[in-house]
Amino acid sequence: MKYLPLSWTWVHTPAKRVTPAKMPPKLCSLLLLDQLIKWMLMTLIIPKRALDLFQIPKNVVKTSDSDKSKGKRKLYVGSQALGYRRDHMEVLSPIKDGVVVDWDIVDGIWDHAFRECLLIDPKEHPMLLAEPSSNTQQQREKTAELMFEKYNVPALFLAKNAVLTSFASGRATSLVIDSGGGSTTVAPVHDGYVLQKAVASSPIGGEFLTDCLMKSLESKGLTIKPRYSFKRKEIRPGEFQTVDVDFPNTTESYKLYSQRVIVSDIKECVCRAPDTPYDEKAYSNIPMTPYELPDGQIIEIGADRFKIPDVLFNPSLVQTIPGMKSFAETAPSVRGLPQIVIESINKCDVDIRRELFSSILLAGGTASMQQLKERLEKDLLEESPQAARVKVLASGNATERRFSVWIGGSILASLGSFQQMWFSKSEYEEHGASYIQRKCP
Amino acid sequence: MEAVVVDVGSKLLKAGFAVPDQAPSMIIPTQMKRMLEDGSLTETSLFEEATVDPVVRGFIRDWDAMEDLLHHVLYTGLGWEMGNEGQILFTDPLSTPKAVREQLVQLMFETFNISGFYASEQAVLSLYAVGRISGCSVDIGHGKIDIAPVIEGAVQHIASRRFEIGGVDLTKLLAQELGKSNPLVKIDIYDVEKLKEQYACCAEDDVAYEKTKQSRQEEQHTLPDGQVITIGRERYTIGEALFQPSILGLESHGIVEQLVRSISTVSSENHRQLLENTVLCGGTASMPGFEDRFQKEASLCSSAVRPSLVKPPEYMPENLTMYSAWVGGAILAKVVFPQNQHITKADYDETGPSVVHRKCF
Repeated sequence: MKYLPLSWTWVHTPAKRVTPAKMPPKLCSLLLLDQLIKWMLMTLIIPKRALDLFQIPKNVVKTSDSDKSKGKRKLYVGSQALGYRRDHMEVLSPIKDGVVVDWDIVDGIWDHAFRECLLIDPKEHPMLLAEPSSNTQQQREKTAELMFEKYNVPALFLAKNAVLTSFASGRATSLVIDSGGGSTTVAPVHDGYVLQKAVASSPIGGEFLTDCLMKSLESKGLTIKPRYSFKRKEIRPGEFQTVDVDFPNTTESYKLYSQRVIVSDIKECVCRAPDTPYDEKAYSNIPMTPYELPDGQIIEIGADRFKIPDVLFNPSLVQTIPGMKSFAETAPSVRGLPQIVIESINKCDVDIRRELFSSILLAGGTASMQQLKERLEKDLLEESPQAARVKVLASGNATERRFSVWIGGSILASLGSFQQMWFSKSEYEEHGASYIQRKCP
Repeated sequence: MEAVVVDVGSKLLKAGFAVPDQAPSMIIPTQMKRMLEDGSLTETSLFEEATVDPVVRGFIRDWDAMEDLLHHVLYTGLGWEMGNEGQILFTDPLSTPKAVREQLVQLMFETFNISGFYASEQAVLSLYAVGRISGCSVDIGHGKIDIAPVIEGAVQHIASRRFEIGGVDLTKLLAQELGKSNPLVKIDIYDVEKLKEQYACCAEDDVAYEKTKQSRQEEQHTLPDGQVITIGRERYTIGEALFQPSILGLESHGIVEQLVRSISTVSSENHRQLLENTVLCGGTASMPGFEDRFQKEASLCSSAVRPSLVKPPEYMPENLTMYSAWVGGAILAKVVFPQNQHITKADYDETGPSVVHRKCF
């Protein structure tokens, strides 16, 4: 079937087709998976630039078919699949309190990412995974097992989130505040290693703030209609009317998920961290900001704009939001962000405290809130010892703040000196999954 | 010599010298027939052999067939001489795997020995063809549908969506429907394709679509082999399938809904700009009644900012939707090659195929 040349001078050797299996790891790209609580980012990397960046919400959807005897469930992954309403569809998240509880779902997410989003074969790509700073040995072993046995990756490395954020900003020692969807973690990094005993975390994250905002809006009488529940009809030419559509088989979890998506968008657009601690009386006369909901309704948000972000700094504010009392009872001892930072630094050696104070990094989705950096700096200046020079750093670009862990991993994996640190498949077969503790500190 | 612009689609390959505001000089089917004896592969069917589709769902899959096809296009069709190859610009669909891009660069430099190469995404090029750098392009092709928001020339990959349905699925649907209404007639898939192009149209809105289901208005059509079939409401079913994918058996929203959802993932300051500069392109989008239906569905969208389609400029040729990616490529070629922003032979020799990721985006 080949076309034979009649008279042609070949400059290079003819028909050199490089099959993917022969591609050396340097030329073929490295995959980086970042297990943030809320978002999972996958991409083929080039340093400092995410060329193909895919965000997959960590929530996955399953249908439970009541007449299936085996109880097999079908998983739908990704925001495109989640956006479509199906009967009996539940929204599940595999991670509870930072710990993976359902490995099948994680498997499904990775499968979707490799096969549908990135369109690659995991056999050909070494994998760098970012893990939470306080990950248990058992989870790491299970991850390694899953990666090597199911996906047959040639090499693996597990790096801590805090270390990668530190690399992204070009520092080997810093205090990393990672404020993501599920929780906020404060971890000091010294010379590229996380100081485990000083890691502190708080359950207040983006999702929690979204819940607060949702309860607050509901208590004011505003109903958030999920996207699937209404339709516009033309009753007369030129005149439109929004009509409610009812789907009786929609599960509660899906309805809640759809509402959360909308409220989360409100939060990202409208909320700002206040310059001073929130005070009911001072903010009662604030001008309202309008926001248009997907069904066309325009709502006005006033004091909530500042109250919700202040929950990060002052968790006792939660008690004033109607509907959130259950949280206030279960976790009364949650402290505000500045206090957690001070506590974490105080657990470190006296010698490095000064350096930690002067390089505090902000990372994560919630950290891209406006004015957060200024407020945090101000609060820390008040609480820190006099001699310390407090400096909070955050990259100006909101995208970079959100994906700084990923960017750090991208930088790490493309370093020449990193190439010998991979945990290869042959080592896994020789020593087993527990060897990962030695290879990936 | 002018640069050559090649837009390889699942059904048609558009190629020509980069002269903007003209249609591409070569529009040929991508499908090829395999011949067992030694000799050149051509697209005309002289023997009864298996057909080969080098491009599946927008991505190049069969590289040998692709090589032969490009050989035909460049040397026979466009008149290149061996030893004096010029510069070439390719278009990529959305989410092209990196391996595919690298392989294409390798094929061009090593087998065809070209002097310069550039690759760009089809979504961006379709916007250039109508004179915009930001907007949303909805590309409804033969093998796939791509919805891609573009801001200042950069595709927002986070918000873009790709669906594996296209003209080929509509053809299958039409064949099925005709089989139901004309059970005694056997129709070849190529004839169904031609019927689709001739007869398919869109109803004005879903109320009108329901009405067509009841009506008995039918037309007689004579097939090339003499058989006579009747086509009635199947014409509207095809057009409706894009707005109600449940007809195709898929669980997803209609195309306008998908567009709105995909744009809502982008940060809200750009929403207005994206929605007001929506471009429709692709062969399937040139169905009669599609644009009007699209506008109608868009006005049913609940928020204040609604998708509105961009009118192509007057100096552009008719039928721009069929090859707007090619025209955009011609415009880009006039900018990129003279300014030496493309990949030259020296770059390729020095760095290898991965240079495409660095220089072309």
